[in-house]
Amino acid sequence: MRLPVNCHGVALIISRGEFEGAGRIPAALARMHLALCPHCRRYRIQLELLGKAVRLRRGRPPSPEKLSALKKRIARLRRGGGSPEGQD
Amino acid sequence: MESAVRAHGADVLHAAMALGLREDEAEELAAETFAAFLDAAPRFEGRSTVRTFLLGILYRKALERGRERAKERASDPIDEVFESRFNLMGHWSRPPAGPEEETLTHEVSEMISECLEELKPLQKAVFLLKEFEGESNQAICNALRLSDTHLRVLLFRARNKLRERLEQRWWRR
Repeated sequence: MRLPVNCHGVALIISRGEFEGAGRIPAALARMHLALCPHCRRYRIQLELLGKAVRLRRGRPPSPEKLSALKKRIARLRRGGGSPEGQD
Repeated sequence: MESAVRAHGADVLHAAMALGLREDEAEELAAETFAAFLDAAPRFEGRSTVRTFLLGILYRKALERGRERAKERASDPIDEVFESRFNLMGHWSRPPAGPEEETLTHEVSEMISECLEELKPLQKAVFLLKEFEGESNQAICNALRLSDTHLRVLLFRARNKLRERLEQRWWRR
């Protein structure tokens, strides 16, 4: 990994998910850069928003009926019956 | 089967729905995943958790289903887009625009969800396993049989494509 000494390097390690695994020196350099550079801070915030947005898609857990339907479908598949539509 | 479905049925169904499938398609894919898991269970070595093992089957099946597990190309247009954002000194030549607040508004969430459908299947799978399922890099590599380097490239491309799209839509709203 190249040392994150400029915006390009910092944006790379953030988007490749290397920030946490970076050694102490690269991580300190990146943190220092982020403290000084509003553009890189915005970039990081935006990437975090992407993750938050998909986690919001996790709705309520499936109902017991759904799980029961799933079990029936699995049993049918295991019997080799396939899952043609309209057989439920 | 009872215990596996009871313990992980909801997670697997959720993950299938997150792929953007219709409810019946998601249920069918989840069922195929459990059926494959039960067939493979004797060979399960416990190198990952059962949940991660199941999610790996689910995502691989989703990729096979679309027959879209094309090899990730050596280059992707987003690589060039990313590079074009910086000058020779490595500073932003076109700084990122768009939301700068850490709070996620409904509008931003909607925009991002729509953009997700534009990712290549493998990029989407990696992004969802990381961000939606919260899996570690190692678990994702095992589940999708990827190298760590490949995973990082896929994450880089998925995140930058989504961010670029978010920026474009932000200006058009």
